[in-house]
Amino acid sequence: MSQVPEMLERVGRIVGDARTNTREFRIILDDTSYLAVDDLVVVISDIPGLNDPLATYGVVIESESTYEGVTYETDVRRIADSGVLPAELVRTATVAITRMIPEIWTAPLAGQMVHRATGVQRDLALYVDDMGRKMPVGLAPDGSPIFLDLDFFDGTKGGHMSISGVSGVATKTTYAFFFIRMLTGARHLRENADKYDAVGDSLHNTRVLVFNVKGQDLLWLDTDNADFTDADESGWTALGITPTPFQLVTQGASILDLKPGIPTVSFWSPPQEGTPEDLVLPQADRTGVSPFYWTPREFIDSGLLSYVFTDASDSRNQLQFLLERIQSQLQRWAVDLADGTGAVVLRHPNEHEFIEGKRVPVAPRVGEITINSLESLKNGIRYFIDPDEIEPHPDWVGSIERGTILAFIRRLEAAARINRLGKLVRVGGKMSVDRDLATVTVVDIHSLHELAQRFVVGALLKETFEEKEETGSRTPLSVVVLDEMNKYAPIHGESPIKDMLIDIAQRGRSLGVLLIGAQQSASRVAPDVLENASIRVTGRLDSAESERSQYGWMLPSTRARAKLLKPGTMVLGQPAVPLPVVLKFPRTPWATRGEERLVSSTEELFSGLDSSLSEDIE
Amino acid sequence: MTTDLSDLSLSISSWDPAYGSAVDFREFQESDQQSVDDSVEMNSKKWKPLHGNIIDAPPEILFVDGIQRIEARLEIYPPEFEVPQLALWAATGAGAVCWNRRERKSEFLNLTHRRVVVLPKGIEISHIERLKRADIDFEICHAVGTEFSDLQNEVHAQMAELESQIVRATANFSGNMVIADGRIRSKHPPGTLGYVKSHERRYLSGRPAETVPNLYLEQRTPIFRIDGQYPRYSWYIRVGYVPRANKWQGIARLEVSAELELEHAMRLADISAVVIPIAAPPLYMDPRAPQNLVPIAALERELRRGLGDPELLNRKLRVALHEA
Repeated sequence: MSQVPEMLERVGRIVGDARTNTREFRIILDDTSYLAVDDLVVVISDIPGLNDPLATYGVVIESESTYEGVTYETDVRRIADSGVLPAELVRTATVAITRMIPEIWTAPLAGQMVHRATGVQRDLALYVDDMGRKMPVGLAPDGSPIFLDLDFFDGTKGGHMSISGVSGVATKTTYAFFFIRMLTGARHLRENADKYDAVGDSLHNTRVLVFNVKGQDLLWLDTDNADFTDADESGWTALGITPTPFQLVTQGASILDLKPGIPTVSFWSPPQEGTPEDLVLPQADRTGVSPFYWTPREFIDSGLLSYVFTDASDSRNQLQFLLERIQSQLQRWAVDLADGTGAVVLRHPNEHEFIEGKRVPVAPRVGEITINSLESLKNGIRYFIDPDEIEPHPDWVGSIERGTILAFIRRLEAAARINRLGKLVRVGGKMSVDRDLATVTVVDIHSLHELAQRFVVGALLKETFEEKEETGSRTPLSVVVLDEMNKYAPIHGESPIKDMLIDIAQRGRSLGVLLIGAQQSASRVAPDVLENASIRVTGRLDSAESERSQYGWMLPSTRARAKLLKPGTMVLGQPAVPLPVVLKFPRTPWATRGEERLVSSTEELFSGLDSSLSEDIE
Repeated sequence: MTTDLSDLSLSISSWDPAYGSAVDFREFQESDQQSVDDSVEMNSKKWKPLHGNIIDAPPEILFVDGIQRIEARLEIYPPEFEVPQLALWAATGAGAVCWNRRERKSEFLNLTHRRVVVLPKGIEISHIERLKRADIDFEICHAVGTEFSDLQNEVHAQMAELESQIVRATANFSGNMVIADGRIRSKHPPGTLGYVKSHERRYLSGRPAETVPNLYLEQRTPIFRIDGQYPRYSWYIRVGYVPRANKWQGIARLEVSAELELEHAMRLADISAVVIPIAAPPLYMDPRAPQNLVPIAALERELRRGLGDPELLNRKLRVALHEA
């Protein structure tokens, strides 16, 4: 390995006028060669006293050119215009050292030949030989795959991923899905896995939960991308994956038609307003989307009342205390109605009847409030904590001041409105999000009020995390993709969602709950969440943002470039490779926006009609 | 540790090697009896500035120059001599710049460096055996005498020889014009133009002398002939203007062997009047501007660079000679 790599392309020599050190060196390029930023090089030096040659690997961080023999700036006119001044055009490159083999940190020798690191040498430069389980996560400029050590994502040695970048180019979410496709398209992994492979073995059980927050961008994961080209296809082939959209799975549909090896997807959307109980329709412009809601019973049992009060300001006062008290009273007092729709009444626990340890469903008595919506739940609670003309029930309010009680009711009332959380709690058959249905579960919350979005995110995160806490097994992995992390886990303030995200960030690794968080600015995300992410990915950054300490893992040159990155180019940082790697990823075979859909001719005929129709509905 | 006394027979003199360098070189010493004929092209009474032109000028102009550097003075004290003898360790370099006017591009050609040890008359090569320890290649030559100026003249002769070799190896007089820095020497092939920047000597008087400062750009004086050891045709051109300076500033003199036909010399004179000012530097660029031409300055710089670091060489020599 340490022999002079004769098959490699010589690109130049280490310059002789500046000192090399163990961090950087400069190369003077041969007349017939070039080096671009991010190219990898290797230098073999015979260090006096060392038996074996020293291989130094590095990445090009800057490319430079000048005329040698120039004293004044205007000399260039005499060189290039009249040509009277002889001068030598010099092209150089600066290289940041990434690795030494053997690990003896000695500067490479001035004047040594520099070769382009390709093939095995390239893998050595990128520490691929050190990776426990390598998974391709992008392409180098030369089209060869760039690997990630899966041990640092799936919880073996590290977990979680954090993606940053300015919005508008949809790069963050697109990369997250590209990554998920690589993660779940395990064909590549299994072939190469020499030992056991947690992700590969549990591919069919790996579950990904995603929230669609912008437009209906994520509702086309099963639809062909009209812009997908042959070049994209060969990119995917280089990554070892046959590019296909995800396979749609709907509730109750047969899974026998599914093709093996292609991850599946299910879509979930809140119910349309005013749909009757027997025909709950989802709020979506497409078929194959299932509606979801919580019944009052589920709402109470899962303790979802906390996620109604997710505003950071809600945590400052006595409200939390009252909320916890009410939550526990609800769980004690609520008893099912006999119709089995999930409606409840609140009745004193002493009056509950039990058969074999289960509460016996009841019929509502006269005067009892039937709780079949958030509005009626509010009324039910109000009956105990702020009744007309009589004293509040001491079990429910304790010694809490009336002002707090009124504040609680006011907030619950606002939240219960139909265009906020109202439509998410209703009676009827069980319509909860079934995360076991497909590999990827997309929950569409883009049309919801922000309060409702937080409620859904909080409720589903809680469900996911508690499920894994109960089983105590790391596999199968449960991956949560959450955009706008700065909203759910902001750097300042408290909220139940933030607490849970920090909990997931800290403990999720060992429980197999892995977070793929995305945000415009990492500097606005809680450090506990950010610092626990082993894998860091960055798209184009705002120039002020790129200077912040959260991006300290990047080289100064990479930071400067991060302001200019185009969609489809990302910077990857992972513990297994101590330098940021710039990678490209091919366009996805599925549509990432409605406009990208590959529509058949008949669909096209009605497409205009569809959109006008959907505008009307909205 | 024992010291071999015979080693003491060769040492480096601690004198500054540049000492005494202001010596008039023998080859340059022109006899006072030289005569000037200022009516070869035009009657001296009718002298006036003539316009140059570059019709059918060659596309390539070749500038040739040489440099020399004395790097160490060696003292040789063989037992059979009464006093130490002086020798010089010197380096010479020569090369060319080929300026292609059509392609607007210049490049260095045949950059050559040589290290020489100039021994005084009567000193054998065996006396400097120890120098080989320095592991630097050098050539050996003998001066005609034992004086310091003899040694210096020999260094200069070595450089001139090298420069002439470069001209012969590089020049192709049908396709290019060859301009050597300084006066032409007997070793230059005929056709080589000598480019003289300074005017230490007065060749003209009367109307011809008045014509020189009144030259404009792209003009030249008529040709005059200098007869001496080495007969030459010569003329003045203007290479640039120096504001608020006497009008002789910005004037250069050219010469070419009188072996050439007069018509040929006139042709070269016409071309030189137009082409050379293009290669003149702006005033801020060089203290010797505008006469010190850009390609020649670049060539000298490049040649000096090629000689290496004098301190380093000196150290190598000292180590070789003085360390056991």
